[in-house]
Amino acid sequence: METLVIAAVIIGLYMAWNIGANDVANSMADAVGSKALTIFWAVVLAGICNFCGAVLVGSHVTDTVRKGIIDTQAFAQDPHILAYGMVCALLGAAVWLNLASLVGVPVSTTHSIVGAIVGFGILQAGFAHIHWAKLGQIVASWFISPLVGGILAFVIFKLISRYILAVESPATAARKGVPVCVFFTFTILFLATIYKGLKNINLHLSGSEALAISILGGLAAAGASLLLTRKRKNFNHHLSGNEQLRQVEKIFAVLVIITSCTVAFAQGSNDVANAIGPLAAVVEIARNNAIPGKVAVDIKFLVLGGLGIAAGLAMFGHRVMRLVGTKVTEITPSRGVAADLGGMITVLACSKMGLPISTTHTLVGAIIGVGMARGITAVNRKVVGSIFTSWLVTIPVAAGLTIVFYLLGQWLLW
Amino acid sequence: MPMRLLEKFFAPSPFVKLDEHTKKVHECVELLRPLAKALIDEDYEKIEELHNRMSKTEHEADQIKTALRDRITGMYFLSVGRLELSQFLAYQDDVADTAEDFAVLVLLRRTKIPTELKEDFLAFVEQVIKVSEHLLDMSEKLSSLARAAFSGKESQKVLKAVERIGQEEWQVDRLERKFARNFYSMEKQLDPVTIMFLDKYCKTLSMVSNNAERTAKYLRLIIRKK
Repeated sequence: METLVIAAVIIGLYMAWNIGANDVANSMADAVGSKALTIFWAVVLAGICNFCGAVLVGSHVTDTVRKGIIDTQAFAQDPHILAYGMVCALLGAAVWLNLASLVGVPVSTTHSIVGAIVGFGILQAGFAHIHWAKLGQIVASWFISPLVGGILAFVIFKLISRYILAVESPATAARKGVPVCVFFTFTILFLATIYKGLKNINLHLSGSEALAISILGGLAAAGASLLLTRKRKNFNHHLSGNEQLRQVEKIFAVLVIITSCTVAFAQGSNDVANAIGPLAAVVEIARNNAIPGKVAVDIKFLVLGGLGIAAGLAMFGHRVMRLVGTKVTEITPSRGVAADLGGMITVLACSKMGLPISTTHTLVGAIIGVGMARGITAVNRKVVGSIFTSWLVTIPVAAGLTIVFYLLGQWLLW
Repeated sequence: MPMRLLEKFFAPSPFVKLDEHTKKVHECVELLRPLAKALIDEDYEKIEELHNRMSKTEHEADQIKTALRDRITGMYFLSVGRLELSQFLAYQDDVADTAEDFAVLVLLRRTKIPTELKEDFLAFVEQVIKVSEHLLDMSEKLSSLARAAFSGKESQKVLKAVERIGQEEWQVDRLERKFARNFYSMEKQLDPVTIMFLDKYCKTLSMVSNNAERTAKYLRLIIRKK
């Protein structure tokens, strides 16, 4: 059993490290690509926000991955099988990720781990013991989240377009608009964290209390942002249209940093489960000799996952950030804000509902949404196509790999 | 790892290459001025040289067009339709093509422009170049239009510029008519082939400005479309 736990920890942390090294950079893409933030600060802020998101809001999705997909009752007699399975799932997912990156297919960590767990579940528990309803919800959310992210980003950018970019004096409108955006962003952020959350640190608040605190928090943040954008003297009126638009982008640069951080936060809340969910299950089984119970996942796991991600980010993330930054130059702050907000709201909502989704794919959807609102001109056809292909391919392959590993393990080891 | 997805995701905006094409096309149109002058001065060596330059420049414009077309097929166009962009490019290319047609005409025959008409001829050519300048100006505004997400004020500015091109093109028509009326009134003194060629010059030059206007009007469609 000991070796199993160690194996789970190693592979789980490897997954977390991978997420930090590769995925987190995408959450800051909008801030880095539009040159609002240097790579160093992007890495630092992303690490902090990702960690906070993982610890504060990460429990719901982790619970789903831990025990929401397979009916764990089937293993009540022999919980060790479940533990073996979870380790194989981790391995299957990790191998698929590496394979896919070699081939260049954009695969999601989330999709891989879910596919892997389903694979093991079918093999050992049989078709009857998979929570098909939940799985159906999850798969549906994979298609819906980029769509919703896109629609939200579309609406938000249309609003920015109409009320800020199109008016007589865009720079002045931007100064007024930023606090409004900040208010909504932070209110949503606080609400997502507090409402029906924070049970891990034993803080229970009612719905209306949560709402009130969130609104206050939002107002405070908006006030702070007013100070940040007010500094310059009012010489906007004399600037040409083009110059005004450049000013708008400068003003939005402050905002896009904030929104990218919230995306990192949202990502932490959703992706930490990919590494920690199976790991938590294995450790619990080893400790209690029983299947994972009703208790919410221990916060220590979330902290561990968060740290793993941060480590990956610190060690390798800057390299990816740099690549992202140089290639993603078509994004300007005003577009980035719309895409970030669309993505953040979608991912956080899914995290609260315990649905594991791909942050990157959601962001892609959001960016296309901004594009449809005429904010971006062109995106690569092939890349968009490859996303669709990856959706079809991932579950079968990850599931297949897991089954292979489990059978191998059964034959060789246990 | 949803790897470097976002890196490869964005395709470079076509407006930069489009700008290049517009500048090349205008280079072709600018050659009309020395061509007209050389014709009037009967400097036939100069005409040869200018014709070669025109050929070369028009070919360069073609190459930019083909490169841009190739690039376009690899992308999904979000803010401007792909067909619309392709069509805009085609219309703009026609401007360069007709400018080259004029160069060929001038090369074909040593037509003598009557002294009384020299000024009018130059004014006519100058106005055609002016229309092309306006097109160049407008095409340059395309990138700031994209920055403003094709909204409100910036698009209003471009739409106004389109109107101005219409007015300048009307001036071209007026000058063409003036020149034509004048040489037709001299028809007894001129030989028939000269008259034929003067007529060809008129048609070709006004085609240049018509094509420029058509390109501009198409831009209005692109802005309005969504």
